[in-house]
Amino acid sequence: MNVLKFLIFGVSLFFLSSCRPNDKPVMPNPDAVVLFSFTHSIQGQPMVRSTSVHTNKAGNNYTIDLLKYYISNITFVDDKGIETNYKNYNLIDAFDVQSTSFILDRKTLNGNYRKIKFYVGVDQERNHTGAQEGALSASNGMLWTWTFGYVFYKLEGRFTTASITTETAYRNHLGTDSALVKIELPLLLDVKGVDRKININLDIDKVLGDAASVIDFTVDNNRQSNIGDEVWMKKMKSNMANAFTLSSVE
Amino acid sequence: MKKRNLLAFCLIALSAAMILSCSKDPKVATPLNAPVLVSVESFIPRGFSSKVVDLNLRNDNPLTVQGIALGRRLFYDPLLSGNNKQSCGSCHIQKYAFSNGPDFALSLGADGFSKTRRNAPTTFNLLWAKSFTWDGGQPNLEEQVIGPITNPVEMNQDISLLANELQADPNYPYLFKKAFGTDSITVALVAKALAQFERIIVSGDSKFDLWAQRKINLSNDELEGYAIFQSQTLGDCIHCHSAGNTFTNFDFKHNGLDTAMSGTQVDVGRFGVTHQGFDSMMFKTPTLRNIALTAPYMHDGRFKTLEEVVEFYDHGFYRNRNLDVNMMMLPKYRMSTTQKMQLVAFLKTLTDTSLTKDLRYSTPF
Repeated sequence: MNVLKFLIFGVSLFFLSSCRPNDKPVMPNPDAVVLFSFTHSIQGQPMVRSTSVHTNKAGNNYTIDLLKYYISNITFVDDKGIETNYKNYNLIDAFDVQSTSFILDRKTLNGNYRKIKFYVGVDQERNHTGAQEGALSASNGMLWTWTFGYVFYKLEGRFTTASITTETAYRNHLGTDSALVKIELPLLLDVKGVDRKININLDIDKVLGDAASVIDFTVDNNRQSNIGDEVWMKKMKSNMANAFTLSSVE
Repeated sequence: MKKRNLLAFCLIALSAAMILSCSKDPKVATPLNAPVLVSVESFIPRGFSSKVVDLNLRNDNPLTVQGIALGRRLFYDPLLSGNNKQSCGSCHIQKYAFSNGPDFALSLGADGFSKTRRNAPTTFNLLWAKSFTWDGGQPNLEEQVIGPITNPVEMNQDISLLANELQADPNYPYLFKKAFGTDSITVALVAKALAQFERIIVSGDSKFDLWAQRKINLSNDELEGYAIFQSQTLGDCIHCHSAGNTFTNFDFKHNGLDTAMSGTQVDVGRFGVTHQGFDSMMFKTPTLRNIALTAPYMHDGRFKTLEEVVEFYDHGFYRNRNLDVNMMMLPKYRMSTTQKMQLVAFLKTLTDTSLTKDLRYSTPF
């Protein structure tokens, strides 16, 4: 009797356990996406349009009216060095939340990724071809002419200094093929078919540099990557390469 | 057995009766054809973006032949105004590229004396628009089109009466049935039809476009004007009126107009929508397409001619706190008389006479 009871109990247990859903392997979702989210800060403080005053390393007290830039060719590099390039072109407007997050066109990521690379700007291939659409549409106001190509990065606002007490406008418009900025960030991302979110931060204080590479609006208030702006362009390029950080992967 | 046959017969008879009672008299029920979908690509001029992300379209209001035809009729029908004297087309006049024309800095309402707050904007190429009205207060075309109909200083229609008025009309119930499959008229359907018609009013066949397509040549003055338009030290128009197809970046900017209005009130512009200090007196950059047809200029229509506008941007602007940074950089009196003339010559190449003559956009009455 007891043996029978034990058998029934045992058999039930077997059936019950076989019904547990986690016995089946989890199928990776082939439609899993990677969401990118860009945030903006100044010395770790969030960036506020026009109203908050910040001080750069040159002693300029400045506000920001506009910050727009292109992020293109986001590329994941896995632990074997194999690259997956999304060939994307996204225009980020720091003050338009609809533009600061985006999902790239689907491309299966499956592996252990150790590096993420992207350009700030538009690569030569698409910088001069005309009649573009979406982020590259001329209507976005980021195109000079087809010869010069796109403005890769635009920062505009007003500043004062100890000696310049009236608010003075500044604009920093970086572009032309030679100014394409290449960013490379270390990454620990193992993609196994689930949605992931990558948060990247741009610190404008770092773009404005320090010491020999400092951007000083008393001389750099009107830079549009023209002839004569070469030194400024070089500083911008090297400053910007260190201004992006990977804040988190979710 | 007999009983079962009787039962079966009864069932068949009953079903037949039900089926017959459901079928409609063929004379009365000529079925209406479903609305015919129109491909938006057929309206997009050469070189313009047809990418969905760039287009102001709505999934719940697809373009149809019948919807567009209804929208066109509504656009030109004074029945939409409170006193049945004014239509949308009264102030958005085709021969002036759907602006109100040179005589009206501010438009007159249906009552004949009320004045609008701002200059009537054009209603073409809305397919690429990112927001509507001078301050961008309306993100959706379907909502915007109802604004002027109900505004007391414009068409002044009591919105609660509009649907009934159209319902009582001998033609509209049938036209709505054709366009939307229902003859019970609602304000939402009026808005949908108007939006469909406005979306297909497209202009992309100007002298400039023909030149860009290498079909014609521009004169030396026009070409010089184009260079001045793009030059960052001369016209510097391009920072806001982006070259390309739209001739606007759709942004809100302070362009250096002083605070004095033609009326008594100061117009705070975009501030009225966002209530953010940095948006004070900012207005949406308008397109420059057909600009020679849309005088007078600015949100309050203060300038009568293109020459006046060019003078203003050459030296007339005020360096207000909110003035666009790019304009802040510009020295005054930077263009010569010849250069200003050439810039105007270029602006005139943006006129598209096919827009002003296209019968698809004209009144059906």
